[in-house]
Amino acid sequence: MEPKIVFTGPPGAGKTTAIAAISDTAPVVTDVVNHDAGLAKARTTVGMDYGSVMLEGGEQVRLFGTPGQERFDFLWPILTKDALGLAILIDNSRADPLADLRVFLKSLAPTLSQLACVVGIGRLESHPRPSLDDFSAAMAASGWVFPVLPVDVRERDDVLMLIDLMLAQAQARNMENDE
Amino acid sequence: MSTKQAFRVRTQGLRKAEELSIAVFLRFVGQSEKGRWTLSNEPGAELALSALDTPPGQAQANVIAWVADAEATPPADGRMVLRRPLQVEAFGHVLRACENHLETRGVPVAAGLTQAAPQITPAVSAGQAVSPGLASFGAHANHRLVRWPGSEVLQNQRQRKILASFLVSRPLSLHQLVSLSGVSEAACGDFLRALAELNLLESHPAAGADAAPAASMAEPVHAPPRLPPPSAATGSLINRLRKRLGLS
Repeated sequence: MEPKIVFTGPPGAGKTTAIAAISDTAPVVTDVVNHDAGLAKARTTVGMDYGSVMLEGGEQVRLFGTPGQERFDFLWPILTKDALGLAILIDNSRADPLADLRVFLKSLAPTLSQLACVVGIGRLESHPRPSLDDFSAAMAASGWVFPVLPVDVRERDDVLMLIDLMLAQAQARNMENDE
Repeated sequence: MSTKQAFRVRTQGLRKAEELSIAVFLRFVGQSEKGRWTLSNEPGAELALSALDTPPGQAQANVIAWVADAEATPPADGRMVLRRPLQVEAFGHVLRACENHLETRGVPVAAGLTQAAPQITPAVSAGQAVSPGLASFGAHANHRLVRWPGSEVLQNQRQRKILASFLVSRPLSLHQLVSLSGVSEAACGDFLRALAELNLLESHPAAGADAAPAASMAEPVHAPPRLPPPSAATGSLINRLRKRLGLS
């Protein structure tokens, strides 16, 4: 099975853009015209986005973006199963970003404990509340500890930092116990 | 005692390695529902750990416990005795007994405790070399983040974020953290210290030196139930992906 990294989060959080920032190829997207008046965007993902990073020797790491709407939550654990890592992207300009995060933590709880996971918070500059610390506290209150970072998914370096911290967790999980 | 009290323990005449061991032990057993223990050099500490050959009159504290070699015969004065090599759980029993003594007797009595400290497998023994750099964070302890740190600790430094990420996945010893990160022992120790000062770290003695994590840890609510078996293929993949993305 080829390794994969999954990006999830509510609609508008930037999953498609994050994949585009690091994918070797233009991402395959499954966007359609948005008819949801609650989403301030013209198009939204209803299937999944797909990109890839090619490694030496021809192996590739697949990049998947999940649909963000809660009605597709049945897809989230399916897509994240056996992933190398998961990035949860949160849009801080939405009405209740902390509640958004809780939705994903709850839906993915059975697989999260097996995953290297990072949380990226977007639009913090224009919407500073809740703060990064608020997100950390909310996760800790639920028993989760994951890196929480500000992210502008248009910036490749920001997305790479998410991947960097994700891989650090995967590396620690994978290390020999007696190392 | 309905609220937590500040208790002080001082060492008198102990070997340097033993003093370092006590500092490490306090991280694990230095806190109870009754109070919190700290090391102190001041006279008047609630507990003194005194070597048998401490000159008379220098062992001043509310409670005194002797530190003695395994075969030594301590004075029959009713005081507690910690046998060498020092053992963390035995030390914990001394602290708890001292707390009970102070609670029931009020304050100062420099004797009267007769509980024998039990002999158990040491986390850090007096004979082991414990470098000063490791002492305050337990060379033989595993550490895990209980909450992602804020900017006061991370200081927007990639290195610190990486170190913190290592501590997210599983409990790690200082040695393991150094090994994983390639960062100096001093820098890793400083980072652990900063986390500990903000109560962001959960530390437990390893079952053995640098032992596997889960078994000896108090499990967080969502702790990984079992680590996947180490995989060379995954390690190689991570390295190649890092290289490919320019992260290494």
